Amino acid sequence: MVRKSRHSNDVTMTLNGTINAAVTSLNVSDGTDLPSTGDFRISIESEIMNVTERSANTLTVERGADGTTPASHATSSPVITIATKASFDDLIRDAFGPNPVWWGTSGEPGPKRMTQNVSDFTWVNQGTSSAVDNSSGSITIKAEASAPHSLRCLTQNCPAGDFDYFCHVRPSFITEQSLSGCHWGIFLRENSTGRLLSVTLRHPVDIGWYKWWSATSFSASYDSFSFKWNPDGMWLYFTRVGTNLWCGVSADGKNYKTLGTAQAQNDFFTTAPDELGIYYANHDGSDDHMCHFRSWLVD
Amino acid sequence: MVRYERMVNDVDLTLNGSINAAVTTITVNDGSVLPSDGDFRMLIEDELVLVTGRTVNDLTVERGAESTTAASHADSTAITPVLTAAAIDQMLDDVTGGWTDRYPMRLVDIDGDTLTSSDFTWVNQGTAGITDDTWGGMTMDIPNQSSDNHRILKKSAPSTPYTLTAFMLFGPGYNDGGGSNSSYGALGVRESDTGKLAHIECRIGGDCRTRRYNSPTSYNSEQDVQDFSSDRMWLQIYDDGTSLFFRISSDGINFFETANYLRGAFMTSNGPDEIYFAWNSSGGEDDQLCHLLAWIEE
Repeated sequence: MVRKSRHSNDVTMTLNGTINAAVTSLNVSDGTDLPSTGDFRISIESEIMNVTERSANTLTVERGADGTTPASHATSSPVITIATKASFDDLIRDAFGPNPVWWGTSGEPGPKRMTQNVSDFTWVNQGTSSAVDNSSGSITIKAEASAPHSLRCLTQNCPAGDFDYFCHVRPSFITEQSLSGCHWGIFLRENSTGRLLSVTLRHPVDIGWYKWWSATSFSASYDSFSFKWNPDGMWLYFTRVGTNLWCGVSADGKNYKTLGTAQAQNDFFTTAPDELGIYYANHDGSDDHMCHFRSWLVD
Repeated sequence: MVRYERMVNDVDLTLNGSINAAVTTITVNDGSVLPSDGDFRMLIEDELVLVTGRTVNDLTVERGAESTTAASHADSTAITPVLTAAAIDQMLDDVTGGWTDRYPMRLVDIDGDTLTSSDFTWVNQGTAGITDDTWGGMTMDIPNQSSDNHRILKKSAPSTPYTLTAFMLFGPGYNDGGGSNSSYGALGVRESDTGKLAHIECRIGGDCRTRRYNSPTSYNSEQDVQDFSSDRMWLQIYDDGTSLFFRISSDGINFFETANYLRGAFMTSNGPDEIYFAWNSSGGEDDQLCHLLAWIEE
């Protein structure tokens, strides 16, 4: 059987035979009620072990798991089945891989947790569109079919200095298949001019870094490339360092592909962006298409 | 309300009225602290019960859950909410639809030991790169190139019979043309002394092909083609020591066999003795990102 993260209910058992701090095989009094193979955690005195295999009453173990110290243990010591922080982390990793993202090191976008509410944003070009806070935490924008390039935007102030802005975006009800398809994404905006820079997923055509004179007026592209399949959505980001901006996209929330090259923020904006946000443009699609925004990180 | 696996914090409850080993409705002294509906699990003496519904203080239960024995219990017996092994599995099944049947997102060899990129060797690397992701997967970064030009990471094959299963995800930067000029990911076997390759490959936006190649840049023949459009796929190869079997799946549980043939049908020396994954970016962007999320040898 394939190893993966498993858990065991409470089983009353003891160590059968004294072990030193190094052996990786040990015997228990009765392993019948344990999972037939690994991985699962046991605790003997102060040491946690990761059981990787079981054959009857013999367990193959990784010693000193989860930061504990391997030690010798006397025969008849109680052996306790436990769940640990790491056993849950392993379980989530095994079940999902990185998408939803494997929460881990600094610089990765973190969990699919939308820490913002609709009330934290201001509408730009709302039209008859609407947005809802889902009780599970995400935000859904619902937009009517509209003329080309009508971005329904939810905007808020962005940090004054350097920042990273990550968001996971997932579309729904995609029926428009033309080259001018529905699109959605994240943006930076200059309040005084209304100009926007977007990272856009355009179904079923491409991913692009686009300039907009306003929420209804397209200017030009900085960069774009072919992209069609994103059933589970994509991670998008903007970064400002000093006076430069760049952006990117990722399927796994960890490895990002940069769009084009860094641009000076006053290349398109008169001065600099002072807002950021999320948008959905139901470009000639059916009525009431939706787009879901499922994570949020600005720091 | 819809049933799904729920967690309950520790609350002090007792049984209101004695029960025999058979009844499926039990009454507690105060149900208001419990979830308004199932599923959750509670321990009464040595018996686990699965609560599937609640109406005020009355719980609808499945008795003797998780191989415990249904028994009678006296009035005022303590009842304790518990987190059990089956609850954890059911929660993951509820969320993923198939977790307990499915392969895990791990890269492991035939002994179950974790693999990293240092366990693999490049064939036709070109300017491709590989990154070990902190969570345990690997990401290949490959430039645009023309036509068939596989960037291969290989290792020794286990002793036959073995099964190799992999889950691959396209990141941004691919060419979604779907036809012969497009990006694809592949899982295959290789004959080390001749360099011949046999694999199953998925072209994003197009199809799934079972093919033979004389080398990473020299196509030989095609054994099967299926319509398959996705940015992710489970691929599997089974080598029973006599024949090779090529399979694909969208759920990681149920596999569709695309082709099988004798090990010596194409490999001319000793047959395949290496296994590999490969990505190709034919007409894609520079820096096409390609993720290997699972690699299971068994």
